[in-house]
Amino acid sequence: MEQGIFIIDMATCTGCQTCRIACHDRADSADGIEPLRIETEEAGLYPTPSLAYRVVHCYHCAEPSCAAVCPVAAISQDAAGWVLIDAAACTGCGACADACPFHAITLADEGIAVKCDGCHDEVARGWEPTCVRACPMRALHFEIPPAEVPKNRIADPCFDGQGIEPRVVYLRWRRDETAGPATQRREGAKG
Amino acid sequence: MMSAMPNAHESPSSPIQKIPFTCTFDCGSRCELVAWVQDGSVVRVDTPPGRPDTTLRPRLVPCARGRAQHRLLSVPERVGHPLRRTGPRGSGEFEAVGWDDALDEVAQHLAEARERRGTASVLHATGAGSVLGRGLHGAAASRRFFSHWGPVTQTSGNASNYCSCKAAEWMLGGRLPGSDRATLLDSRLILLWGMNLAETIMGPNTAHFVAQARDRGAHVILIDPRYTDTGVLADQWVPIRPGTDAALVAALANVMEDEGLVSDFVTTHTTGYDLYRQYVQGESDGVPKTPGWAAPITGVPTETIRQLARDYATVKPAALLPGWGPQRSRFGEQAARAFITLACMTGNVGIRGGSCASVGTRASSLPVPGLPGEPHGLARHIPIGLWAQEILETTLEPALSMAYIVASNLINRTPETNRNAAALSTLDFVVVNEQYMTPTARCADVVLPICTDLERADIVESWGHDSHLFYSRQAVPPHDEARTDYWVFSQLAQRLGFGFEYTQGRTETEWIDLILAKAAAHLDTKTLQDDGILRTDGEPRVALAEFRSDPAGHPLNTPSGRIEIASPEAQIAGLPLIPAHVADDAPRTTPRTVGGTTAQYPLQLITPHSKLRSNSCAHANPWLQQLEPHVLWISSQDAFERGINSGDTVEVRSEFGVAALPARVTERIMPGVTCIYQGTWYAPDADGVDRGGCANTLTSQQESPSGGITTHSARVEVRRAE
Repeated sequence: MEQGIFIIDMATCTGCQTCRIACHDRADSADGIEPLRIETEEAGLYPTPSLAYRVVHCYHCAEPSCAAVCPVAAISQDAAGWVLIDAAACTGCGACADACPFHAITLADEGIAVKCDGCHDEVARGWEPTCVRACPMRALHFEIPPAEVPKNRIADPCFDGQGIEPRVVYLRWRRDETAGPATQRREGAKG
Repeated sequence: MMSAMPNAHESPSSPIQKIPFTCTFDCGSRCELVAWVQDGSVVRVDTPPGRPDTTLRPRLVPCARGRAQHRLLSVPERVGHPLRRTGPRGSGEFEAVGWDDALDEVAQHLAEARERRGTASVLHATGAGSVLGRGLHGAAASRRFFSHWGPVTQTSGNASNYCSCKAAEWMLGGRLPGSDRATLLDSRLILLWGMNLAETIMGPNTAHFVAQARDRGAHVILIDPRYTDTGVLADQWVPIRPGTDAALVAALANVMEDEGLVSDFVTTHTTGYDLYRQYVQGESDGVPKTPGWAAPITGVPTETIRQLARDYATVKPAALLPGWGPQRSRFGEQAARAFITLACMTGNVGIRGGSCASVGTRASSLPVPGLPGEPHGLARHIPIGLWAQEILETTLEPALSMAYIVASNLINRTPETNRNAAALSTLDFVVVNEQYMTPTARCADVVLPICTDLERADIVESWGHDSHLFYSRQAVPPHDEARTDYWVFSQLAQRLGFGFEYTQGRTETEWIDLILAKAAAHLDTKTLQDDGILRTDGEPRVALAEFRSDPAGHPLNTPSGRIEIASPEAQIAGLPLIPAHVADDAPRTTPRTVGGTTAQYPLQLITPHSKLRSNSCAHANPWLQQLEPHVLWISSQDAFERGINSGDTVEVRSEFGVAALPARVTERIMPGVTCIYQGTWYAPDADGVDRGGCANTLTSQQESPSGGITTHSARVEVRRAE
């Protein structure tokens, strides 16, 4: 079965946190134990600051480092490629959380590792994952097979060269300096 | 393989029902929610899966506040029983009492108030809590009650967009339906002026349409003292000093005049433009409103002003979308009037992809009849910002002796919260209908527990910038002893001898059936009942399109039938005839001072709305609280001068109070300006320092000339707490 991929459009994500709440609600985990987090990336100085929000959750890697280190083999991949934790088998040792390069695994108080399960049961029903359908901005997508990068976006090279195959692509804005009102603005300024 | 997540698991003996509902927050949006209910409890709140997005009618996807309602059902702040005060007012000390005892007590106090001083001695205050255009709950239920009981004193105006409403009234002859948000897809330039639609949302798809317009090549400019989350969607940020928007507009107009960029629309569709032209060109006062004039006032560089003027005048169609922040200032009417004027000057009024830059109506394009009311009318109105003043320094006869507050965290949501709390404590009796133990409820003598959206049914209209209608269903039984506002007022009406007049013998369900039966004449109520939602189809509405194409045949409701740039009514209110800039500290003839000098309070404070709350609603939700800490935004320059680092607790002081909260030192705010999101709950300590960081602890009750709230014109000083 062809595996889907998460497309996270940072050019459109305004950090509204709806996906995070929706995911927390589905997970039904304790306050503070969340499978999805949002990192704020601020840079630059006044009056030209920059801002981007990065949604981070388990990327269901093709070669999951978490599964490799689990001492009780509680983490495995199902036929669709979802990396899942068997809560009954998990001892809460935390090895997987340490091994995950994305810090996408959290240990709940009861000593069970919690992470995104891809909403695999909902995807199997033909729904989009919870975070994707929760996004008011349509900045989150789950695509099988992955669509091409839109012309005014670039794929963020954040995972290049790390030898991992996370099922995620982050998109960033690519400014087209040759088209649209920006041109008119420059012409206007000349006039 | 099972998931590590203890998800809601359906079984044949314990099926999950999906109940459609919507929020009734005072947020500017109505969105499509579904409650997953199992064994009589909500197990999850979702948006309906499997619905497709269409270009013009995308799904109505709820925000974090709506999605987090599941958690809000079980917070300790929830009021579950009728409560009677046992400690001092504001102490939060209450005992649970039975419904009959509580209702008898409230009815007795109402009867006594009527007998001693007349019905006008009762203040009926509502708003900013659970609000509905139509329906059975909140103010709809209480208005009907008081309309039968007798003329009471009611708060009037609104704390949201009063100055914009006045501007629309003076210039356009009233609040007109705005363009459908889908028309933004055709915009080539979008000016978000004090419009933080990523957080305030104002229509579930407004930001989504702006993002799509940008992807189609539109240029998006954010004009705001802060680089808000909306900045993600913007090509350019233009920081502007709060309260100077009309000055920037005047300079843009000056450039447009100088460069011959003004549209003929001002000649064909407006009156009074020549007076405004004389003002911006300096013919009337000798001061041309050039970019060089405006730069030191607004903080916007001259080159940026010229570029903005050329952009807005030449890129067509262009939508100027003003937020409500600019008009919540001392002379907020001028900003609101100036925006409409500028839209006329660029000819973007009445076209698809343009905007008339005015506030739209609250009314939906899918209207339904609501609960009827108001045969008595009202004894009197007091402006919403001045209710506390009317209690403390009253000139009213009879004086107010009792308050009945419904779906409103009144002391928190109106300026000068310390004074508001003091005002309530002077009354003989205060009743609050509430879902949560808000700071206002803490000041009550009796608190009556009210059902939340998940515990009651209603017909709910969208705001005027959207076109949809919900049949919001009751998902679960009421929490503990909570009841609906309708039930409470039915019971009180019965005790006061007009039970049948109030209910007409109808249950809530029968009222909804009646509303639906009446609406069936013009709406597809079957779809509404079956799907829980009804949406319009067809081409998106363009505001003022008919007026544009035929101004004589479709005149506005103004004296001239045209857009009136010069407004005699504004002048009567104490403002210039035209939308000229008036400085925040310009002399005023109002009874109260502006709240300290700039030397005492050198920093401006703005108090915008947060994505974590709707006003103060949902404040008690732990899921939302943990998303972001409640902080004071302060620029790195101002923080450096005061030795403040991010995370330090600071004391923010104004003429009206002191609030303590952590600082967030940021490059995303203009130097000289600070920001506290409004809506966190007021929590004064023993020294009177508000540990809750409620923005209105610091704001002033001084109104704008026509009566608008001025919560973005606060002045403060900030220092690191010891």
